[in-house]
Amino acid sequence: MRTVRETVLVEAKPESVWEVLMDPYYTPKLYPDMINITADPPGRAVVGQNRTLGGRAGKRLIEFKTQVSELVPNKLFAIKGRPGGALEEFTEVVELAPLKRGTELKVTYVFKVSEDYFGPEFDLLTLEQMAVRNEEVYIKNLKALAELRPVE
Amino acid sequence: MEGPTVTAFLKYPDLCARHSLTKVQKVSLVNAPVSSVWSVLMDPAYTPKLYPDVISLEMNPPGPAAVGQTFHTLIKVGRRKIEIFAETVEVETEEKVVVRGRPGGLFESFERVVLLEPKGSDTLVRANFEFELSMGYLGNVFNPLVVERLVKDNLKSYAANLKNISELLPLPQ
Repeated sequence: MRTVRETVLVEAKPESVWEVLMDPYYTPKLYPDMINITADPPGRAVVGQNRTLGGRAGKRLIEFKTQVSELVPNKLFAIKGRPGGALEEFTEVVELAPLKRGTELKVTYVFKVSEDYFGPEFDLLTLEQMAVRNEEVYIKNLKALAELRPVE
Repeated sequence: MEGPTVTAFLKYPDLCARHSLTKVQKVSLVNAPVSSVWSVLMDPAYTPKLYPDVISLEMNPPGPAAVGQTFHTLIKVGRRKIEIFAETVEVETEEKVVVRGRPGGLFESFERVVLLEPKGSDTLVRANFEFELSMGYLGNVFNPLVVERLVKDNLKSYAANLKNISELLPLPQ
């Protein structure tokens, strides 16, 4: 099991970060190697919403299965893995805390790459490094998207 | 600084006077069957990965592309997010899909036509785009020349990204 923790200061209110988190269609933009998402039920995040994500590992198409597990508006957003995808274990917890200048964002991931899913052709260490890289970039992209301003 | 509002028309008179459509055409050979390319084209959820600066989209109704399905797309331009409204207007299975702009947002007019042609086990993709920026929407916040360049770069990247995603292979069983 691998754990990754990241903290960043977002120069936007928690509500702006929350808007990005609640819209599943931002997800492929947040993770560099995610290419697609299907949400059931469609639309904004609700507890119990199942998500199936298409991703790439080199030239291969892979799949992730997750579920929204906890939502505390503007404070906490949590996702857990579902059986059958590229990750045997997965939890993602995003914590938001308001600051004078914006929002402190803490993200914690715990994951394990599924050996059964990939089979012997893949090097698990390389896959794990790819997952870590995606999770590190996630928080930077989340910050960048939350800081975008609408046209007045 | 106080002063009169400078509109895009006053600030960029040459560009605004043109009022011409910008056309972009990209042709690429995808090393994947037509069915693979088509499955990417028919799933609007791929859109943020096909255009580098598209960050999210909302479709109505959700699900696979169909005639009449509308989109509300967000695109980032510098530190701003701007809107695009569009609709799928024509679908010919594994041959052609046409998306056209709807009123409001970045484009005064927009059309994307993607044509697929099988070439053995590969697919020839012709992507044609025509657009005209909405000066009223851009106002005096954006430089239309910069936005036009950004849109053109996104449209050029579309074909390359469509090829990359369509060529991904499933895991060996």
